[in-house]
Amino acid sequence: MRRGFTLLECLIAIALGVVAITTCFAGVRALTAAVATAGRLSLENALMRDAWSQAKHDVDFWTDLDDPADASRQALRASSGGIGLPFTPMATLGGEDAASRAREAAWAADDPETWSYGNTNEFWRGDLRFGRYAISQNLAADLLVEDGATSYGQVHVAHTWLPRRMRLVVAGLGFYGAADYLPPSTIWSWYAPYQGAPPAPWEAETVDGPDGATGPSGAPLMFHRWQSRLCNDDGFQEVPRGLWRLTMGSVFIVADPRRRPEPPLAQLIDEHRRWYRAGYTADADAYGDRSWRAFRAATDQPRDLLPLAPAWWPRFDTVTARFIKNGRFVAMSTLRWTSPLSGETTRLTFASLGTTLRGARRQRLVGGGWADPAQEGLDAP
Amino acid sequence: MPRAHRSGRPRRVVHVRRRDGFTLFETAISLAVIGTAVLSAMLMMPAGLRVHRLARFQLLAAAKAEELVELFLASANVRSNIESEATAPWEVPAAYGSQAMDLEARVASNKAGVIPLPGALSRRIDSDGDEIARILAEGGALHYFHPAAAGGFEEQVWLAAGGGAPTDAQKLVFAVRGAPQQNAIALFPWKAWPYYAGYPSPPTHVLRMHDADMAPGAKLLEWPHPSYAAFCFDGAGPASQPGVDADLAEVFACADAGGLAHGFEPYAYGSGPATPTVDGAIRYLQTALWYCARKGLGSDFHTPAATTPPRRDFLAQPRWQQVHAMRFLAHAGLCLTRWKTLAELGGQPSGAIGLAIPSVTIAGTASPAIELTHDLIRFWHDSALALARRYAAEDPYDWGAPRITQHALMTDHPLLQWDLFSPPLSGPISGAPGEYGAHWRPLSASPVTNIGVSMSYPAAPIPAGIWGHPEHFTLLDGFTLAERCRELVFWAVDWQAYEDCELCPSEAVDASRYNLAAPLPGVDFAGRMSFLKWSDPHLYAYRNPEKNQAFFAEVDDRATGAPIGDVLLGSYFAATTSNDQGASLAARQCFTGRWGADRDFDGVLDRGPVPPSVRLRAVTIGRFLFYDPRLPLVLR
Repeated sequence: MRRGFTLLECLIAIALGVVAITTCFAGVRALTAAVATAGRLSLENALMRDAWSQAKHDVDFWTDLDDPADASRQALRASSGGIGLPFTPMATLGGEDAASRAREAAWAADDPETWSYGNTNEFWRGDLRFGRYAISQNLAADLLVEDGATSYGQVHVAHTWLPRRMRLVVAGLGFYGAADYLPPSTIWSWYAPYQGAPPAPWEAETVDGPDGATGPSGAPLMFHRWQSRLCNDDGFQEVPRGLWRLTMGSVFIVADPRRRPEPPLAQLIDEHRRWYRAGYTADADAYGDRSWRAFRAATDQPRDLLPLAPAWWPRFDTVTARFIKNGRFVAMSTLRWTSPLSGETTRLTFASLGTTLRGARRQRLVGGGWADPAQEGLDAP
Repeated sequence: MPRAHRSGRPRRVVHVRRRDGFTLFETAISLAVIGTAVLSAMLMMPAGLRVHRLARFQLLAAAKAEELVELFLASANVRSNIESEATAPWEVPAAYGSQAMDLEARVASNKAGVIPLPGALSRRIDSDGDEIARILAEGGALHYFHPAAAGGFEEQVWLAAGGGAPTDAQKLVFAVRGAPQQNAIALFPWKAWPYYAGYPSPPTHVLRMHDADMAPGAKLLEWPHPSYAAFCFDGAGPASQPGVDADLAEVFACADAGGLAHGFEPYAYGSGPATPTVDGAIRYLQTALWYCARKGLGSDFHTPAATTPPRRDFLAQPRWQQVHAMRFLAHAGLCLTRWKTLAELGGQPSGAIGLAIPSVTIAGTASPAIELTHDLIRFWHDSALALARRYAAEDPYDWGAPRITQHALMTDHPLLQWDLFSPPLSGPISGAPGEYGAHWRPLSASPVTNIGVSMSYPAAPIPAGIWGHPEHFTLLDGFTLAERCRELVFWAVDWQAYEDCELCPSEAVDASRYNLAAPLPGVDFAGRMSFLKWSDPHLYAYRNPEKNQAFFAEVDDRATGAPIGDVLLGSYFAATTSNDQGASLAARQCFTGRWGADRDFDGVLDRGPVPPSVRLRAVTIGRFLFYDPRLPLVLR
């Protein structure tokens, strides 16, 4: 007689089988999910590392804004009539003679030419009751000192180097570039031959502000007027300022030329010669083309890390914005990644220490390519 | 042959073919082995996932560590809208540890987006070797990152511009390990030196602080408004105080023997509508020349030969008075270029004949009569800058004349520190009868000379006996790198999983983060607590770092997920932004973050699934060493 399984044995066998199959199935499912998650995390981490490295590379070499190896990505080297952008070669801007460059390199504390002889309380609408400081230091070596109503006389001015040097970088490189090149204790003003002009509202000021209308003292209005191109609207201060005051709650920027549509040169020149609102008193949209949103639009141009990546990969983009706020030179990088599954975007923002604009300019040769450390790069005469 | 059965029938041979299948035991063993294998594989997966998550957090930590150091070292040292001067160091918090050049003090602010984790949460978190517990026991704190603020930008700006995306960085916490260095004093509470002035300039005149007591004889102004008046600081103060020179105030405003007003103020401001005149300018210059005469500075100082190059060397007289003298001469001389032409001032190069400046007698001293020329004005201007620069560079511990606005240097800040090894100073707290404060004594690398008085309290001489023992000065001592080395330690922990993650009170806020008004006549301590206008854009180093997302009322009774935007203290534009100011219980509860905070800044009340009784374990993510300077520096 052949004895079969008892019902109990059968049930136990079936139960054990079910347990075994369920366990295996669950295990395989978990394994599959874990492998998928691990794969996704691994991919995300690898891409994040790449994005982070890319951001650090940008901070150190500024290749996001100017690529020495690609002439089509050097929009910030352009200039127009002596008004340039952060990467405009000094030679294009008129350059300096060897003596001036040597003086600039040393910027010796006991060199009277590097001193500021201006009236730190020069009020642009003032009546000159504190005198004509334009006779001591001026853009022009010989000028008729006047104020539109009276004339002092034709004067030879002893000190011209500092205002000329300041004008070179302010007009040549824009506000961010000038701040990078000038000593941190600089008082932002100089004297020039008087140019009488009805004071225009700041909205109407042109980008050649430093060469535009002056007050009776000969100081360009741009440096003194509250809400000028240079001076923000904080505190109604109408005498010359230092960098911290100029950027208290507002920013000077290096504008990103990679936008689409590509910004024309005039727009880039304009964006490097204005302040944007960016502080507790800021509203994201207030102030129109000086708003936080305008600032971000000019600096926050994300670059797709891997444009040809498969669609099921997370999308990564990076951007490094450069600006000066509250006297601090900021290189703020943002990594953003969007999940292909949920569509959720995650962000990592961080500021880093990196190469200054001046350092970046010295990394580059005028005709393209990288300079070696002994070369002057874009600062070459 | 088989034996027969007892019945006689032959025994039937039954060949039972035993099928050797698995026994139940074997099957069970097999299943156990399979199960173990599968489970092991399953268990390894989470471990693998943890490794990946750890890698993610390591990257986040590296980015945040660099940002912390950048914020620490590259942010400007400016601290506006605070009161830094007082008659005693315990009266204002400017020189306390909460304002020190230490990383956790500098970056723990809403602006930097770095916020101390509430102690009630951090004390529930375990870590390898009880490192977190030890840091907390030593007075340290864990910090978390604000989800929106970044890079020194304020959170509500980010949020308004759509920058508040979720971030894993909130699961990162960090602490600073290692004792901070004893730092140099950034703000000397008795006198927030360096004082600056543009060169050339008239005697320094400043807004008068809240009707603080004036020194006898101080020149008071009705300008710019009677209720918002200024006074001439130069020359104010007890005559016995080194560095107080009453003649400086005479240059600001005085009268000659005939009662005619002289000096800067009558020229520049006058009484009533300002109506500067050439005669006023001449009298101002006469007063500046009079000051030279008072200090024994003769023609070799103020009117040398026409071809003399700008003066770079000092005469035998006190240097600080020569700096003042040339500063006033240049300023007064330049004023006359407003009224006289180059030709009237002797042309260029100037001849011997210019504008005659007659002598005048003031307080018994006659000013020299001179011929004012264009070249002489230029000589004064160049010399004023040269002497002031040399004085600032060579005499950083002589505070008799202000430093140069156009030439601010790090050496304008003398090396000062607190003496931790001498008996401290102590005294009554202004406005709080019966309450006493104590503070370490200051030390200086070199003795401070001509210390004068402060602009805020010109009637109060700075006592000579405040200084500590010179041998305790250490800022110039040699050091090993390890002494200046501190460590950022990062952990990952889901502290937001706690039920009370947003209901816990803020981490204890040091009282010295309260922006307290300096002593005011007739104002008690509670009045001092509410006297100043607290301006969000300027108070980064003050108040509760969690202030902007802190609740100003109890929210425990609200449902999870309920909106809480109506109880946020907020910032700047919020009507409730200053609810944390004042001596009332409600204000103090707001200041200390008593009711918790919207810590993920999502506008709703969050409660996690983990009860407070459960301890979480933090995973160590990374360690980063950084340099801890003793001086307030800004790195570029």
